[in-house]
Amino acid sequence: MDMKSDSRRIKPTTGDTPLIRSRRTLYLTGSAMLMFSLLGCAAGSSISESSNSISTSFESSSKSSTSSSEERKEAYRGDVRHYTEVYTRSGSDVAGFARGLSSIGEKYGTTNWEADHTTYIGIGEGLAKAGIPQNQVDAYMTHLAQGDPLKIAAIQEGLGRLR
Amino acid sequence: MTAPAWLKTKAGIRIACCLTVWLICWGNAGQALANSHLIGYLYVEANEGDSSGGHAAIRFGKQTFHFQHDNYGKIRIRSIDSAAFEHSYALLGNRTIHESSIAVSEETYRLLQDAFSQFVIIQEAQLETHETLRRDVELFEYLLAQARNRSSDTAAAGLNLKGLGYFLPDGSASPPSPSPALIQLRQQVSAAYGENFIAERIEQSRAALREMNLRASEPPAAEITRDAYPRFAASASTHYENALLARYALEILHNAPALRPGTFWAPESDSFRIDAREQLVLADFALQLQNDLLRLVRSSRSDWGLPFIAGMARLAALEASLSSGRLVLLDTFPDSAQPDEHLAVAGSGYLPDMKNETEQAFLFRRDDFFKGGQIDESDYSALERVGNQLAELERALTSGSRPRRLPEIPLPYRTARRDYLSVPNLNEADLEKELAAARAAEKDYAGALSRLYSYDLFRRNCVTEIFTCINSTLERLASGGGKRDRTARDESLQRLGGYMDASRGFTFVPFVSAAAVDACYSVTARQEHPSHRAAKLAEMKKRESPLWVFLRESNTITSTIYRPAPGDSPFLFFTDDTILLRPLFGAFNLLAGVGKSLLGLAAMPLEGTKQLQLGVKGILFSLPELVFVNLRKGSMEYVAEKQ
Repeated sequence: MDMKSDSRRIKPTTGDTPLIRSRRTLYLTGSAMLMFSLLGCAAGSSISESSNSISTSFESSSKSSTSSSEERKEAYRGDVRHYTEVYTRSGSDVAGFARGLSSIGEKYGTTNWEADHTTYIGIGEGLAKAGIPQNQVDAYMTHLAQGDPLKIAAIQEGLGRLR
Repeated sequence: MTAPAWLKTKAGIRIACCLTVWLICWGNAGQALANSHLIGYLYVEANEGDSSGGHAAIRFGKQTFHFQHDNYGKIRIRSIDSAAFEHSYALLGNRTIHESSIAVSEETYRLLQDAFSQFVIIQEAQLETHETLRRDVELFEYLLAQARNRSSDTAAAGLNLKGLGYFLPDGSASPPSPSPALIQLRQQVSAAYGENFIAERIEQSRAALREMNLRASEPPAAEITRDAYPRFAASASTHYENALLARYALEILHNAPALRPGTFWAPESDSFRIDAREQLVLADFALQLQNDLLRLVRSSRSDWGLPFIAGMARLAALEASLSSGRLVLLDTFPDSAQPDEHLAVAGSGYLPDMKNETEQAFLFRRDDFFKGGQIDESDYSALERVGNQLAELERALTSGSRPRRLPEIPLPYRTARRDYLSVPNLNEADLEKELAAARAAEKDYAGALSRLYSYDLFRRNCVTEIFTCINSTLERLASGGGKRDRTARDESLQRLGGYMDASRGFTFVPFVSAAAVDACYSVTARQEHPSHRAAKLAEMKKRESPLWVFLRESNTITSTIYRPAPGDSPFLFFTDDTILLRPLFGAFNLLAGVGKSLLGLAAMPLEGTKQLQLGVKGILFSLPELVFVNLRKGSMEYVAEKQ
């Protein structure tokens, strides 16, 4: 038997038809596309320490620079309110409350939060939202206001806003 | 029961139909009014660099929350001004943002916005707790080294303390000549609390340091959850640092030194000049600051020392402003940020624009500060911050170096190393025991944080965390509502129009999640925030021939829009705005990547692997283009912010 004829008659044993090869190509392409997408979300969502753009030095700077004083105070008061609410819900003691206020204040450029009237309004709002018993509200008020009538009034103002 | 006779008449039928239509419209109007608030779900398109496969965020008006993968392998929530988010991703990142507006009631809007805001606070506190535990380990290592060195008569390295850098040099050298403003403050304190007040408080603080009973903290790591503020007593390092800073605050008040040279800005430019009216405003603020410090020195806050030191430094800067007739601002850049890196030519071309933009922001801030009325510390901090940025840009322009990056919280916390610190009387055996306990506590807490926040491609990424936060909030609401068998799914269906579970299927992929949100929630509108390049192309095509714009702007060589950021891989053609030509352009881009890689290989002995890495990245991002998939869009070194 002529081997050449035999080889022409012999079909491939792998079973690869053009249709199967094109399906495999499609599958690999789709997988590659998906992998890139997945890798992207994985590699990314990352804080841009790797980014060396000159603008990253000043990214988001001008927005904070051009926000008005009222906007900043409102945002600060909101964060104090949120902090007060989650802190009081945690059941931690009143004495430890002041520690967290320092971190909140620093985000808004306030190191001496005791001197900022807005702090106490935010505390009052947070106490109201937390819905804690009145005796606990009184304990916070006594500890934080230290008898200062202006601070007491500010906390009560905050309480009144959200009750 | 049969219908009344009048309803069977033609008029009756007409009235009934009108009534039905009116009721339907009223119902819809009522529902529309009830769901009058819009929450934005944002899908950010892919691009090389950060979040290269896409990103997701959730927007509540001016506040946007998103999750980022930090350098420690954790997924962190961030709150950012919405305009700043757009500037970062759409303009600098050159990625189109697709926003789906979900109609909700005001109550649901506030509920979810509060939930995300509270999560920011809770997670930050948990990470700060871990940082505190890490500092505990450092402290006990330092104290142990001190104890061992005492026995061998050699000195251990000191500690860096915040705020002291404005008055004290590193080491143990004496402070420079006195400041009139601080002398006046000292006199006021003595007048208010007694002549011996400062000396007695210094002695008390030294005694407190010697007798301090430092113990390693053991925070309840097992109790850490995503929705509970961490319960944690003050750590050893916090106690010790607060006591040290209180002592130094009093000693600085006692010595009243002037600001050290090199710790403040006194630019000569006109933007920093102040007129007579502004000097009066500044003098009033200085008086207010003085009175605040007078109260702060007797505060019951355990951490009063640092704000007091920062306040004194600012008082000295205000004194210098009033005497010189121009704004003198404390330098809030950290010591470690040395301005010695030379800026590439391409980047230096943007510095004048950046400086002009920052100058406008500074002038805005000046006007806001000096307009009169109640001024508080945060107002001065805002002026100080943007003043630092402007002064730094002026310096970078003059020197041709890269501008330094301000820390995330730019407050006047310049550090100084202090040697020969007062240390508690603890023996080596006790310190070794405490060090071991501190290390164990830090390790336990780190493990707990990893269990909560470790990044996972499929289960814990920028998409899944958004829906985890939403669903867990609704779950708490459902379980606390008093109705049996009510679940997060029920709440979500009622409030958002559907329920999203990002752990199923491919919903964790950003673009898939966006489509799912559109299909699932009550999305009433979709909006596109075009990328910087897309917006510019649209503008150009209104003025010029679209064909000419395409020919000019399709490639990186002749494009007038593209300002390549340093991390961009090399490529020749933009493929995001063309589909038919994408494989052809992709092929050329692939060649560019290959060429860069070969150059990178050749330059490796001299320049390291940076060029090679860029070349390989160029190849990788070109491959999808060959099969009609676009990821890369190029990012921008600089784009002015929208005013």
